[in-house]
Amino acid sequence: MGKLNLSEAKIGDTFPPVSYIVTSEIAKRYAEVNGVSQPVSASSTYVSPGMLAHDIVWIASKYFDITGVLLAGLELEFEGLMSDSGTVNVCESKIEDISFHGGDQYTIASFVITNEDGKAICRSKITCVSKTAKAKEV
Amino acid sequence: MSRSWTVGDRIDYKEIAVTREQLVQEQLFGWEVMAPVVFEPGVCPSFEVMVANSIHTNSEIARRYGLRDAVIPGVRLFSYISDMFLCELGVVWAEEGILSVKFVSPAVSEDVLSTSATVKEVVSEAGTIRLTFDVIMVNQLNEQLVQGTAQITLP
Repeated sequence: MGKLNLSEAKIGDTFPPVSYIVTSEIAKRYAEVNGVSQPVSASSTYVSPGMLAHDIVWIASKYFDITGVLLAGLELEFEGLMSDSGTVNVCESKIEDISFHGGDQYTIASFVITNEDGKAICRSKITCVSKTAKAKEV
Repeated sequence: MSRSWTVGDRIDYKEIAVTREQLVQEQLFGWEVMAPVVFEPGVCPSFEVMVANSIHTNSEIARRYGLRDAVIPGVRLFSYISDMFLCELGVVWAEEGILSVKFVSPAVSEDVLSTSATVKEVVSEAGTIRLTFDVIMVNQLNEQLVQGTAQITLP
């Protein structure tokens, strides 16, 4: 499947799920490189919520052609902790809304992250802004 | 004992100046970890080439686009704001927090980032307290970089 050019996106467009594994080493390095904490309970260490945000933006670049596209907004709703040695599934990815303001196209895409048990641990929306021919006409 | 919250209470995060070297390390890490997930096998570009030509790491390229310097990725700013709540509220933030932000203007390397949140609303219901915060991040020139809201329900 090729990358979607946002100028051709339609509300309701969906994208195939993606899975990958975050090891303890990756989670630890993420926190170090970005200078943030990892949540720690009595018995386990978990993935930084910021890492989930970074990963969603990366996954968006798998689905969309992000050339000339800016990240205008980001929303994450956390619903559980992600183990730092577990499988991450990004699913239910779709285009939620498209609007036009001041010659720019605003595209909102939503994503759900689940853990290896299929439990949702994060719901996210990203807002991308781009110059498109249609935006210039509106 | 949990803290009691009232409207107007404020949380401040540590001041941060992100260096260009830190941005390079962030991009290299992202490419190393996520590129194999994002790109089809065999078409993943060279990490070094992509990082060297990014507005997030190359000041000269960033200036060509009218930016003051290499741009700190918005998602890194989001990560700092989330970390502020994680440090203040603990693990419950990663289990139930909601954070929604707009990137108002670009933050660039060496900017000093000041992040804070102010309680906008406190609602008590069914033995819990739902807090709503206004969130803001500014640089050393007091230019607003990020604005947003956060919500959390505490026992």
